[in-house]
Amino acid sequence: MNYGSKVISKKIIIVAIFCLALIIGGGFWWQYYNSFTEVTIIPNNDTTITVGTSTDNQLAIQKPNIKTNQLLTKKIKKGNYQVLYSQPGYQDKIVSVSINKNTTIKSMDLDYTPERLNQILNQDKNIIQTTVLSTVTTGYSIIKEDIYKKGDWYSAVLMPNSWYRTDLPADYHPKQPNPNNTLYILRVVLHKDNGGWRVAAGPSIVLSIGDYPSIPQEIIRTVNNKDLFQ
Amino acid sequence: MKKVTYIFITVVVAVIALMVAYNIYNLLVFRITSTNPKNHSTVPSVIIKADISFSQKIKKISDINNHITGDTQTIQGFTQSDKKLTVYFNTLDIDKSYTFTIKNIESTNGKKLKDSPYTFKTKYVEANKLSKGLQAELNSQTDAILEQQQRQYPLLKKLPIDTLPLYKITGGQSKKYPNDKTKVAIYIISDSPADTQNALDYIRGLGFDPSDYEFVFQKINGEGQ
Repeated sequence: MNYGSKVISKKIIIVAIFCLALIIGGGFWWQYYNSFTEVTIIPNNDTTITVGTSTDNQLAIQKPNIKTNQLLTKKIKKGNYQVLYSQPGYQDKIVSVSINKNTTIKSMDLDYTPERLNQILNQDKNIIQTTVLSTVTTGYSIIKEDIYKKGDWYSAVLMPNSWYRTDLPADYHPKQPNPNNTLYILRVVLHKDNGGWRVAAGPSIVLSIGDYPSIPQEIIRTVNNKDLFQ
Repeated sequence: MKKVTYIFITVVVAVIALMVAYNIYNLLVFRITSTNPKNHSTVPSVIIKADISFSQKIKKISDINNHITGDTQTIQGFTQSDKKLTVYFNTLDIDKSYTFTIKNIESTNGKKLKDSPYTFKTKYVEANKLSKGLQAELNSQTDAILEQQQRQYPLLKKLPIDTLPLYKITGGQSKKYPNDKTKVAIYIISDSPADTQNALDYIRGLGFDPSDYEFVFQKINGEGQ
């Protein structure tokens, strides 16, 4: 091989290496470019939406990528994220989303904070309890009650007054069931409709989700699974 | 040519002509070609389905109630393939005539079926006298139902739980859907409200949510609570 051919070979090798590097580099760049996608956030009212990652299941996002209370479009890396919805007076809500293509995140329907719910419960307590106790014969007391959503759902557990023996000392522990009691522990759900409370389910020993499709499932699950003896 | 050859050729030509005519007839006329059980037949009361075959491919059916009238309360569901509609029944009564009208079925060519009456009568037949085919069908149906029940109601795998005279928890016929074999209720049998509550607490302790089940509460002597 003469000198001229050697030079040409070297040049070819250099060009080939350059092309290879360009292809590999281009591949990496393309991969990186494609690892991002567009997220559009549409918060309404005074909701703040935070998109990020969370290392635990708490209502907090440790590494926020986006936090806004205004319409916003931003590119973020594809992957799994947590979205935190917060609004004054409402309970924060966090949901997991998988963002692998252009995604729009809108505001969610949030529940009132526990303080606000308790306020409503205290306001409506008389009418609620009257409604609840009107569903059963005398001899029952409300032992567990909860108010949900926007103060428009309520559940209670009704305990027979004769459930425990009364012939034992008051400090006898644990309390003993009364063998002569014939009444069952009952559960009831109320819904506030047009400003008035009405019975939506029960009173019943157990409420089945299948029987009440219009009642949010978590309400039925909560009232059925209340720990009654604590 | 011999006479026998003429006869043979004539028969072959006649058979081919008949087959062609039959296919042309099926192409032109949209009709029910067969049913199983046969129309006006008497069948064992344990049958679980009826197959209705058509001469042409049928359009997709969304609501069976628009296409079958009559004793529809006994119909549990249906499936369809190209030229066949299979209707599944709930439990059928013994010695009862079931009458249906098959209507508004349309072929994929846009032809409409004439309203077609379909009837059969049921009778009691001992299990060991059922046809092998029907026995196999019933067995596979029973297995499928059990599998579906266990998938839908995982608590069933833990039952029965018997601590009588305190309480017994067992699976049984649904009171809400008595004709639907796939639906199951959980029976809590106990004489005392406290033991009934203990039974519910036990179910919760096993990791099951009572909210997902239909419950029937009974006294030990069988009375309802």
